[in-house]
Amino acid sequence: MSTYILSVIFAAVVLLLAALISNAIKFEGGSNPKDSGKRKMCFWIFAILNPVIFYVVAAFAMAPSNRRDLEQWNDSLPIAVGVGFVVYIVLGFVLSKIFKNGKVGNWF
Amino acid sequence: MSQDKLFVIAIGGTGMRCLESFTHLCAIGMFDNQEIEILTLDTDQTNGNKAKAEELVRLYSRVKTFGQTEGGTPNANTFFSAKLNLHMYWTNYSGVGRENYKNLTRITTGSIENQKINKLISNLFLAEDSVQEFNLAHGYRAQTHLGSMLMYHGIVEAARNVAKGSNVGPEEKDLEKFISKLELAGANARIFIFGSVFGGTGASSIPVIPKALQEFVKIRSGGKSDIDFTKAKFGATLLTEYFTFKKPDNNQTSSKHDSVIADSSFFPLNSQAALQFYQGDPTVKKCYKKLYHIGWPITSKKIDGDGKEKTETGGANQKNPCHITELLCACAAYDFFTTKKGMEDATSDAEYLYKAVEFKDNSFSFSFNDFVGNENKAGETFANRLGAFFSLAHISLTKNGASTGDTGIKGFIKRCEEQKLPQYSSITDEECADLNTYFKLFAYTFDKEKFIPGWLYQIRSSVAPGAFLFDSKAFADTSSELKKLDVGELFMDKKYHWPGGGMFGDSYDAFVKQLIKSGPKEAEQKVNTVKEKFLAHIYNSITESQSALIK
Repeated sequence: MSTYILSVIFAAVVLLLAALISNAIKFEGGSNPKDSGKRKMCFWIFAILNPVIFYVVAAFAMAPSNRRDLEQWNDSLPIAVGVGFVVYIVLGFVLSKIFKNGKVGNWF
Repeated sequence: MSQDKLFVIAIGGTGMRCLESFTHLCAIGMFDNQEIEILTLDTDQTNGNKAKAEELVRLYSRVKTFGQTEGGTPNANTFFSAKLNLHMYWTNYSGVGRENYKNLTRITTGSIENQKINKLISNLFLAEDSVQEFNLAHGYRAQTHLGSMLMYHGIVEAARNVAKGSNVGPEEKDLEKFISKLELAGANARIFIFGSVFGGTGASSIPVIPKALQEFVKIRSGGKSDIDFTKAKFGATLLTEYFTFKKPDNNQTSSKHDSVIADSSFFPLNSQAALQFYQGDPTVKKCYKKLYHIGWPITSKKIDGDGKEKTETGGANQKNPCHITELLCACAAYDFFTTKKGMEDATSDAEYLYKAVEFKDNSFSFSFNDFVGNENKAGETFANRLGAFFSLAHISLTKNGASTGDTGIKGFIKRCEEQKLPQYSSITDEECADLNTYFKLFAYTFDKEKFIPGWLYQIRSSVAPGAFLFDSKAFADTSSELKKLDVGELFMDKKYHWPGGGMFGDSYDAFVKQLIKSGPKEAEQKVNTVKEKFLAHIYNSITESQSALIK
C-alpha cells in the first residue's frame, strides 16, 4: 500500500515541479511563439521522467531488506509506477482545465 | 469632457500636422464619449501634409469600424474612444481660368471702365506681376492679404453653388455636410481651428473662417438661418514660426507661375504682424472665445535637408516632420473642448492664453502637466493614456514584430487564443493590419533595414536633447536596442513601471498574466463591437499594470 501512496505523492511532487517550470517559461510574442510548445514538452518530459525516476529510486534506494517484503514490494512496484503515471496525467489534465487561461493551460 | 458637440477645422499644411497630433490624442483616448466632426481646409488638394493627415483620420476610422458599424461608436476610458467624421474642402484652383488671382477675379472682363477700376483696386493691394499671377494651386504662399480674400470667396462661392444646386463639387457637398452639423449643434457647438499665423493658407483663413461659415449658412438658407457668434464657441491656435526651410533662389522665382514663394526668413516678421492684427481686430475678438499663443522661442529647426535643390511650394512632396508645437496645439484643442471657464459669457472678448515650459541648459524639459494642465488630474490621465498607447505600440511593433513584417497584433490575438481566450478571433487579418499600420505611424517602422520614425519619435527629436516624458531607451531605433526593450519600462519615472513578473518573468510576461485576469467593462466603457472590446481589454490591462498612475 505504501508503494502506491509513495507513487502518488511522487507524481504530485513531479507535477508541481512541471507547473513551476512551465510558469517560469516567459510568454513570447510574434506569429510563431514557442513558449506554449515548451510548456507542453515540459509536461510530457516530466510525465516520462516521473515513472522512470520513481522506479529507479523505489527499486534501488527504497526497497525493503526483508525478503518477503521485498517480493511484495517488487510485485506492487510496476503497478504503483503505472498508478503514478496515470495520477500525473489525470491531475495534470485537471489542473490544465482549472487554470485553462494560465500557463499550465497550455498542457492540454 | 463638455457635452457640447465638437468640431475641428484644420487649415493649411501646419493645420494638417496639428490635426495629425490631434488624431493621435484621440487614439490614446483623450476625448471620451465624443463624436468629433473634422474639416480639412486647403487650397492645395495634393499637399503631402494634407494627404497624410486625412489618411491618418481615415485609418483611425477603419480601426474603429467593425462589420456594419462604420467608424465605430464613441467609447469611454479606452483607446480610440472618440468617433471621428472627416470632411474635406479645398478651394478649387485647378480649372481653366482659376489658376491665379488675375484669371479667377476676371479683371480683364466687363466694360472698359470696370476693367480700369478693377485693375486699380487690385494693383493697390496686390503686386501686379507677382502676387496677381502666381499659381494658387500650392496655396497662398504667405500672401495673407490675398489669401483671406480668396478663402472667403471660395467658401461663399461654394454656398452659392449649393444654394443653386448646380455644379456642386464633391468638396462643396462635404463642406455643406459639415456646416449643416454645425448649424444643428447651434449654441452647443465648440469649434477649434488649427493653423499657423506665419504662413499662407492658415494665416489667411483664421481671421475670416467664422465669418465665412456664417455667410455660407446665410446664403444657403436664403437669409433664413445664421450662426450666432455670441453663442457658438470658436477657438484657435495662434501658432508662430517654428521651422525654416531653404530660401528660394532667383532661378526658382524667375517664372510668373512661381514668382512668389514663401520665404521662411520673413516668418518672424509675419508672426509679429499677425499677432498685432489678432490683438486689435474687433471681428476676431468678437468671433473667438479663446486664442492660444503657441510658439518656439529658440532657433527654428530646418525641415529640409541641405541636399534639397529647391524650395517646396506645396504638392505631394511637402511632408514636414512632426514637431512638439503641433502636439501643444492639439493639447490646446483639448483644453478648449474640456474647459467651462469663459465659455458661457456671450459678451466677453476673446481670451488670449499662453504658458511657459522650463528651459535649462539650452533645452526644454517637458512634464505631463505642461501639455494638458492638471485640472481634474488631466496631466495624470494624459500620462497614463499616452504611456499605455506607447506600450501597446511597442507590443505590436517590437514584441510581436509588426515593424519588421511579422504579424503584430494578429500574433497577440493568437496569444489570446493559446491562453483559451478566443473571443477576439473574429478580428480579421486586414483589421489587425490596420492597427499595425496605425502603430507604425504613431511610433516607428522599418523599411527593409532603414529605420523610419513615426509621430511620437519625431516629436521627441524636436525637443532632443531635452527631457520628453519617457526614458530615452523607450525611443530605441536599432534592432539590437529594440530587442532589449522592456515594454513596461518606458516612463522616465520608475514608479510608473510595470511589475517585473517575478524572478523568471519580465514586464511583458506580467502584462499577459494581467490581461488574462482582466477584461473589458462593457457598460462602463461603452464598448459594443469585438474590436472595441479587444482594445478596452488591453487598455484595462496596461492601465492596471501602470498602477502608480491610477492610484
